[in-house]
Amino acid sequence: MLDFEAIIAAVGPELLLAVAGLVGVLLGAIMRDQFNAISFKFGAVALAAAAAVVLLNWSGGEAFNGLVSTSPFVNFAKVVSFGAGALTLLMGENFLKRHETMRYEYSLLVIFASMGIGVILSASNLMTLYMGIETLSLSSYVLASFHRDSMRSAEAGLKYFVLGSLASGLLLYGISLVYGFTGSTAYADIASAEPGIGYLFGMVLMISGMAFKVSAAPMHVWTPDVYEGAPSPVVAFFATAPKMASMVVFANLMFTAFPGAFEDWQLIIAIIAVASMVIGAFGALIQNNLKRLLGYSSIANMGYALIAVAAGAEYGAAALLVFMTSYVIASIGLFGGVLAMRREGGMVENIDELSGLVRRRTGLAIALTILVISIAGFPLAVGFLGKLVVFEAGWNAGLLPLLIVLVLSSVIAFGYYLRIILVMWVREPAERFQPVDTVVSAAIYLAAIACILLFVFIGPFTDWATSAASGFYR
Amino acid sequence: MLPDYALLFIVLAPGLAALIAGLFQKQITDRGAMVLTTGTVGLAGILSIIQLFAFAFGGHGGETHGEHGEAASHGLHHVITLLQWIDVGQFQADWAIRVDALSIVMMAVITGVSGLVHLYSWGYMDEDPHKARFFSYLSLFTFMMLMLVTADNFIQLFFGWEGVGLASYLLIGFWYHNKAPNDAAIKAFVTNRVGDFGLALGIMAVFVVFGSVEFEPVMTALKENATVTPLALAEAAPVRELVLPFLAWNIPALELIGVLLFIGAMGKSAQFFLHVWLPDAMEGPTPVSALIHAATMVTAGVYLVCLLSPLYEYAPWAAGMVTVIGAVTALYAATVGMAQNDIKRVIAYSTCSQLGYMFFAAGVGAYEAAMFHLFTHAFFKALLFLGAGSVIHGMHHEQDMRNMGGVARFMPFTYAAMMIGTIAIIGLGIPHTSIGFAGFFSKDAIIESAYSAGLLGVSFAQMAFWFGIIAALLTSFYSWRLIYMTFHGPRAEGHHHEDPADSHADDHLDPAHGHDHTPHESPVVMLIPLGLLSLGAIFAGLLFYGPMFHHGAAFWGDAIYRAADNDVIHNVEVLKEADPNPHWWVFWAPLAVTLTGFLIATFTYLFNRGFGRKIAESGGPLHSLFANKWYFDEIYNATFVRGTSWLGGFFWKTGDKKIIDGLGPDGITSLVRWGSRRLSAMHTGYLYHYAFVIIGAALLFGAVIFWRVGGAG
Amino acid sequence: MGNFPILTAVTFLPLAGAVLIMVVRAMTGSQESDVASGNKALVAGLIFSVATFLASLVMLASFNVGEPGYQLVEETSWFANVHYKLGIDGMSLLLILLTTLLTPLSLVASYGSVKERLTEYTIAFLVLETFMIGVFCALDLVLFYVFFEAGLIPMFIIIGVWGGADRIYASFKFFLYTLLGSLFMLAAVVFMYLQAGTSDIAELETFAFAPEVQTWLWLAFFASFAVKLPMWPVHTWLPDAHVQAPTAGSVILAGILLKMGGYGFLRFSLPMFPDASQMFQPMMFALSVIAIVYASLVAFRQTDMKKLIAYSSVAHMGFVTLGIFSFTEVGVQGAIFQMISHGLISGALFLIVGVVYDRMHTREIAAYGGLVHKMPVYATIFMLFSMANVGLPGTSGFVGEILTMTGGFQASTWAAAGAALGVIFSAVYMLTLYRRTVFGQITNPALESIKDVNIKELITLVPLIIGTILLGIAPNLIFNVTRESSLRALQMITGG
Repeated sequence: MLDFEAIIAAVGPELLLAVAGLVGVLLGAIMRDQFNAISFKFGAVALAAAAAVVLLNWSGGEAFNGLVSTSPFVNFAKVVSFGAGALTLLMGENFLKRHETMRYEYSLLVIFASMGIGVILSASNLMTLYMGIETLSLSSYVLASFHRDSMRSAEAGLKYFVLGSLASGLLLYGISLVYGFTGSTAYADIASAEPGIGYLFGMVLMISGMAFKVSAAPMHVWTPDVYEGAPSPVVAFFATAPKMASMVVFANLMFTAFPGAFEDWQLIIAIIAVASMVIGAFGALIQNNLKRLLGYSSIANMGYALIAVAAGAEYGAAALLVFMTSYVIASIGLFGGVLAMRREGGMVENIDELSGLVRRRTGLAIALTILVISIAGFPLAVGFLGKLVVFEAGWNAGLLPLLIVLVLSSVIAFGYYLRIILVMWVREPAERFQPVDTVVSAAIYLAAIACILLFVFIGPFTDWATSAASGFYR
Repeated sequence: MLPDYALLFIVLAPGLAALIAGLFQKQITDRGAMVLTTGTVGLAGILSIIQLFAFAFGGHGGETHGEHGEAASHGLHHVITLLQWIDVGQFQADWAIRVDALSIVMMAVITGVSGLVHLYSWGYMDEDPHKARFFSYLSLFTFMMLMLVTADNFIQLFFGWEGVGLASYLLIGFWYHNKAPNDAAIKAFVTNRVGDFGLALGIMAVFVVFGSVEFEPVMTALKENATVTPLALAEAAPVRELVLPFLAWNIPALELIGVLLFIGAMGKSAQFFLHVWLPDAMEGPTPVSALIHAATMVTAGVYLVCLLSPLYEYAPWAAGMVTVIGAVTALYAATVGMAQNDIKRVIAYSTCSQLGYMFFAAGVGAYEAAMFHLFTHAFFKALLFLGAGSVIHGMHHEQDMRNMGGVARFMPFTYAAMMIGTIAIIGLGIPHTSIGFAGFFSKDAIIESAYSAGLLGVSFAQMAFWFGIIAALLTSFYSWRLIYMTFHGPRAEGHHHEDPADSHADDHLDPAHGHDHTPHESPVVMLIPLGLLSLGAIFAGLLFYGPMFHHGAAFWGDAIYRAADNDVIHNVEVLKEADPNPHWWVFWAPLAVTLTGFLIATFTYLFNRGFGRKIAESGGPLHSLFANKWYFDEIYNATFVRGTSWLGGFFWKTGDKKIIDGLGPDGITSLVRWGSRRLSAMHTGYLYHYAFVIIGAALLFGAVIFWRVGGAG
Repeated sequence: MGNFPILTAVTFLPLAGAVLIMVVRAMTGSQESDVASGNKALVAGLIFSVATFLASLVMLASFNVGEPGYQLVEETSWFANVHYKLGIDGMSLLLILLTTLLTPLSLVASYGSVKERLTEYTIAFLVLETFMIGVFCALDLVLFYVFFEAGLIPMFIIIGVWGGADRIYASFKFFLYTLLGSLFMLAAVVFMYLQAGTSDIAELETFAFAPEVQTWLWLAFFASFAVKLPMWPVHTWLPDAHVQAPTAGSVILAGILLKMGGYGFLRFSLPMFPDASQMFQPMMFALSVIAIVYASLVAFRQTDMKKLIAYSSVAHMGFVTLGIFSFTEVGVQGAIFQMISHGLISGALFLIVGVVYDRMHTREIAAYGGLVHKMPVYATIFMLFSMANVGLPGTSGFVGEILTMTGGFQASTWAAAGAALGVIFSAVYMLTLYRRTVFGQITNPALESIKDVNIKELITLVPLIIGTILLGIAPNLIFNVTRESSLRALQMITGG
């Protein structure tokens, strides 16, 4: 007997997205190219609706005999992810139009990817998790190579696909090992199993797979190339919605399925976190391509987020939400910035193209400055508080070495963040950009204002995140 | 004593005048500035001198005790508090005017000489385009000096101390377009700062020991041997037994303070080791030399030691140091004075030497003698300088005595004044009578005191006595040498502008003055001060020998303190009146050596003109040593000046740039960038590399877990 | 005044001005020429900064001098147990006044001197002012940290945009140096918050951290304040930053930003970690004295006027730490006084360099000489401040030096002797600088037509002249205000 209400509570958003996707396919088949123009709004509305459904079923529920189970913790991530997905979708519209690739498939892929996001967040069984990940990944591979005619885009898609499959293989192998040693794929059963060596190996392989998905070092290797090669709106999407979701899933998996092996996975995740922070900081330092730089920046930020994961559920869960949300907000704004860098003859991606932006577009430059400050974790914007709560979590968990790396890598990272600010403020103005799309500039300004407002009124926000994470406190 | 408003006028009016003359020189014009400053200081001078006479002969003397009650017993007759200055815990200092015997004498000297110098400058600086500035500085100096001597606490004293340093700096460098005055000004300021290093530390030590920087509690504690608690540094103890840790040593507190404060005095009074600035300071206009570098500022050190007589009475080692440094300076400066050719430098070294006398007098405990000599010296030394200035003025800014000669007939009045000054400084007079010039009374008082102290067993007093005798011989010699080279003999022809030795001699000269090199007598405004100072040089000793030295106790009251066992001055009288007198030769020795010096000078420079020059040109080692001031400048240059500069460069280039920046920010930055490049290079873009990294990492994590579990098992 | 949040008003008034200018600028866009709109922005900025100064006077009027503890406190919850809490005591009051005084002066000084991008320039200064005031009145550790760090960005931009030729290097060095230092402080802040359960400064003052914990916390705060102050050997950012910064930037940097270090020591290190402060006293003394002597010697060899004054700042800040860590009333009061005094004097010296830089566009000492012939008023003012910098009694420079040294003497005669040595060297480099620029003959023909200070420059300098002399003669104006706060800090360290 299916308990319909429970199903809606647990997987309502995903169902909605699935339906929307299928409707989209149908519309596409009927309307053909006419659907292209409205598909983006369609997708955005679908994602927003999904987010609304999540909010309506905030406390979550369980369905399909425990295959899926939601909690405020994952719902928090869903809301942010869907919201980010909707926003990045809209931001990309004109970009794709100009590149004559504005096809409805794009929005449908985003919808399906988002459905995957929903599924992995809801998963409480390894099989569900794997299915969701594959849904997300396959959509992502196609998105990465959406510019079929561009060599870079195609190459990015291919690399992403091959390496992603490798990671999926690792994940799957890990799942089977865990299953083999515990006899179950349900999180709850795994959690109560005795951790033996095979079980642990399985867990490590799963961690490796997840690390790939969140682009944490050393499984980050795909990130710079894909960020650079894939179309900018796609990267904007990659950097936000799936990042948020994968990281929360990663945490959720560790917190709920492997609490018994806490110290083991803490060590591995700590290593990953350190590697990410270091590589993210060092790697970005000499980049000139803004997207590539942001790729490294995201690696570093995942390192910081992993500190919250390594801190464990009690200390880290709420911190993770706060940090990732602040990261997503800043990323949306910054990729908006990337999308705004348009000149006659196409997009430009070099940092130097921002030269003297403050003189050409004062508002835009100030907004971008705020966003950079935020992502750098400097006081004045919410990114600082995000880092602060992560720091606090790490401190509470006694992860002192990680914190030292956090501090030092932050200083190094400032080197390149400052460079962006410097370029915008100090250099002689470069040629003027083409007018920025309304949605994009709105997104940039909104993100910047959100960074400041969340900084000032962080209290309610952290309270919200804390209550969302309170399910772990037990 | 004068009413308070008159005292306020004496001290503050010069400062106000300086301010007005300095800031509003455009509005009030040069002439206005000159009238204002000269008038103010002159009036202050008249008031001060009236006060001095009233004090010395008006029956006040030491008898004023009753009048001002409580303060009197501490040697502070009268204090006018103007404003609270610093109020931090026990660190209390006021802006105040303290009037006692010491400050009354000093005020008279300062304002008296300053007033005359102001007047004199009307003539001397007549051609200078910056008269207002000059007079403003002169008055500023006067004000600062007055603040120094009327301070009722160490901090105001320090204010005046540094303030006169500033004024001195400004005045030495008055002709700022030239290099030499600028260098000399900086040298003076910095050397004084070296002294102030000691003074400042001394004041800090005073504060730590006494918990106060005000004279009154400090003096009281010293006199009463009060038990004091040095803040945090040592256990409470009676002040005379207190031992203070200082740097690596434990030093009796009073000795420490005494030595530190004396270092300050050495700087300001150009004593041995710190004397190097004074001769160079002669680059300033001559009136400045007379006022600051002869009569007043340089005596501040002597004043300080006398003021702190309660301290030095109980700090025998510090007092010994005062004696030794004073005696050595007296002799050293005299030797150098013999071999100088610049007329002002001769007098400068003479000043140095005379200050040495004052110091060893104070060192052996004859503070009255020191102050007395300070007083008389002001007259004849100012006279000599102003006379020299008159010569320089008349010789169109020629300062090299080798280019002079035979000036006497062109400048008879100046000649007379210089003769009076010379006779006064060599201390001519007949022992056991009251016949003699000012220097006779005061210098003999010092020499006799030193001898007396030697008999009483005061350390280094005998040495000081003998040094004093020899220095008196040399003083006589170089003083007469100056007279002969300048005023006698044939008139030196030619004006050696191209002579490198006189390169410092004044390209500020107004061309309007023409190049007629015939010397001429100076204008009346310059001669009036000469005349008045001559009177002082003749009669000051005679007049004040009684009050200041012979009956010193009454005159100085509690301003100068002597320990119960200090019998030095009294013993002089005893020695003098002994019958039969085994010490008779002591009283005749100064006269004998003075005459000897006179004869040698007369022989070498008057009758055998050129003999002296021959000696100079033969360049014997002794002459070289003297002429080159014992190579002090060279040694200091090679060590302190170069050393500091080298160290600065080393710290900057090696310390900051190479080590700190190299290992710090720059080094780390380049390391980070290097790492960044390496990391980027590892990012090949090849799929199989990436795949390898991912699988390798997964295996590595597995290995870590295996190691952990294995280790745990 | 009742409950009017005067501190918030003073703190955020400049920021409001900045936002207003920004909005107006965004609305008018680029219709107006850069210069015209820039000048308008500068005037607007000036109005706002003067208004802030007036508001700070209101604050002064509402302040009760004799009362110990924090006054005019405002508090609202921020997040978790962190509060937005402002309040002042005597020490912070004076530093705020210094800030609100120097900012308008810097803006005036910039008029005509900064020609490019005045709008952004004004905005940067106003934003900076808010952060600086915030630092001095924040009573919550996290809030303090936010203000403390936030000031870096506008200063970074000021140096980076309007600085000299090597400004990029200097601005990066300034930023990263300071940032690295303060991140350690951040770690300590988090720790203290977690351990004490509050980030309220007043409460933390009474919270007794275990001695070994104190050691670490002290070191973390030290890392931040030592860089900021700056102390030897982490001072090397300062000369670069000063040389490259525009005149007004240098004024603010030397006048106020450096003071945050001294303020931090007094506000945090002494009261919160008394045991550790005691323990590190010898080290602080050593570093202070090294700073004084070393920096003075280095200053002597500089060929760039601003660099020389920058090194002189390092030396003078050495007196501040010397005084603070003497743990005596004389020393601490002297240190606070020295901070205020140095704010006036170094600010004036940088303005003085700016005067000739505007005319000649070089800071090389060798390019000058004989200025007195063409600029007598300038020469007089320069002389005054040279003497103040040298610590001549009668100027404010003296009072701070003698008191801090006296305080130091009570704790270590070595330290006092070393510091006194620095007093000698200060005369050497300052008088040498003066002689080489002002005295002598004019050798550089370009100087023949140089003009004396104009009205604008006088407006900026006269308040500083008055302040320097007034505080030199009547320093009690300061001491009366700071007495309570320094006694309080001392009480905490001596365990009273």
